[in-house]
Amino acid sequence: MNQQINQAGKDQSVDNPQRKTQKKHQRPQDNGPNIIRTENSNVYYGNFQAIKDVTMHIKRNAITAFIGPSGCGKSTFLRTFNRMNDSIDNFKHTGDIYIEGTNIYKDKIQVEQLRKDVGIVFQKPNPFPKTVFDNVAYGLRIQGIKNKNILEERVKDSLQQVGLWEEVMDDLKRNALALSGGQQQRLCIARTLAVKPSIILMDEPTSALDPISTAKIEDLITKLKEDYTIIIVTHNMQQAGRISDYTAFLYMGELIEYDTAHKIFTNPEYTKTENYITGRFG
Amino acid sequence: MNYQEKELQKLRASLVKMFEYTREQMRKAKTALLTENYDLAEEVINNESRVNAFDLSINSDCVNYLALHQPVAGDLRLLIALIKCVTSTERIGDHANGIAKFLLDLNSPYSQEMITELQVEAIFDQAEDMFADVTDALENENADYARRVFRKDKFIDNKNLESPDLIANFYSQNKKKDEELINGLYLFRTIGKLERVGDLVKNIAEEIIYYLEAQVLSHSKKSKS
Repeated sequence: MNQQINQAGKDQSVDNPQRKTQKKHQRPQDNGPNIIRTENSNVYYGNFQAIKDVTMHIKRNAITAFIGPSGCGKSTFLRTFNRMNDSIDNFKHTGDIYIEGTNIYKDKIQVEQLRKDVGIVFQKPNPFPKTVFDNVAYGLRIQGIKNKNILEERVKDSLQQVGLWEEVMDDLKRNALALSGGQQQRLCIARTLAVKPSIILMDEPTSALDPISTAKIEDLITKLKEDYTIIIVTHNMQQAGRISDYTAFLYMGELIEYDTAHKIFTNPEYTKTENYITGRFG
Repeated sequence: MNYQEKELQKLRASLVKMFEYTREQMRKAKTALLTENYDLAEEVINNESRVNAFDLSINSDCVNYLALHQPVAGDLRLLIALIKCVTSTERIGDHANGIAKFLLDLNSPYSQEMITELQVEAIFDQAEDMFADVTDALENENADYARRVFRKDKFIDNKNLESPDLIANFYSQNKKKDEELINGLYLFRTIGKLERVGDLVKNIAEEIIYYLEAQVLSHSKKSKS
């Protein structure tokens, strides 16, 4: 099924004879349904191949972390799940990506609907220069929801889910840009939750935050997995170890190793993974 | 080699030093017992604090490394193994100290015939040999050296099991004085301590295998060979 991963695995095993020469699992052993399935996924920017033949299955209601050095294709791969790369010049995708059984690059789908189902949170908090309320209600209004009671209920519910309600309930008309960085990021997550996605993509969501705000976001992420599937790109190995159920290590566009976070951070199968997570890469 | 690797190498080298120092303590306890050298027994007792100092220092360095570098994978396993090995080695030091103390507590020397009958020297040698194996395993990062100790420990276990009957037979056949019977019991306790040393070296071997191969052997009945 995944020739490329096997190929990568064999290459890695050469430099450490103690390691296994064949990969037993091309993806984590799952005891539940997969929400995302990629089959031989390739991404090209012109002649440059950013993602190389990646096949991986992502489990529902789990946190999956993508790790790897800068430029390895983590963010590119993440953004294929809601077709955020489509607007980039010379972008081309081959292979298949199924979300809930729908091939999002080949079946006829509405990209707007896909992005509602697959929300994204970016590295830098990016609230709109509007009130707290309007930020959270933004996506709902775009969906055509105008009923004030429904909007209020969904805004409150979303802000409660991210633990921000108590902090902003007294002044929902406050400009969102007046919130702290950590609060802004939680607001952005609330804005994503308001449209009730099933998957949330997070592209280094805490890299611009202090440890307290980071801890709050991490705590939030672990709670959110009860209702959502979360895929997070992070450069912070400790963060990947702390919060992810599964971790995928990408290198130069290839999926080198994908397993439970426990396995990756205690006994990775491949030398390249070990060298990266222990800071000996290069 | 980056600075983290250098730090880890230093920590590993510190444990090797602790192994060597504790082995020397065991060797001196053996010589003191076999040659009735009470000064050497005193020396073992006095030097016990240095083994404890190794324990405190290496543990503290490991905690610092964990806190400052948050190691993962092989580095994490090494740190965990080091902390556990230090504890086991410190206890081996305690046993060397205990054996030396027994010698000073006696009112009369051990019977050389009894020492020969119980093969005390061979048990000491076996324990020391096992200690050398785990030292080699850590220095050379070779789990096969560590695996050697499991078979060797069986010799010590057998000698420990045989010792009560041997002592009882020896005293009943030779009609020794009560004081010599007490010495025999001290010798029995000495062999008991050596049996514990063998177990502790085995624990060290398990930790080194865990570090090198990520295999957990503690409390496992599966083959360790």
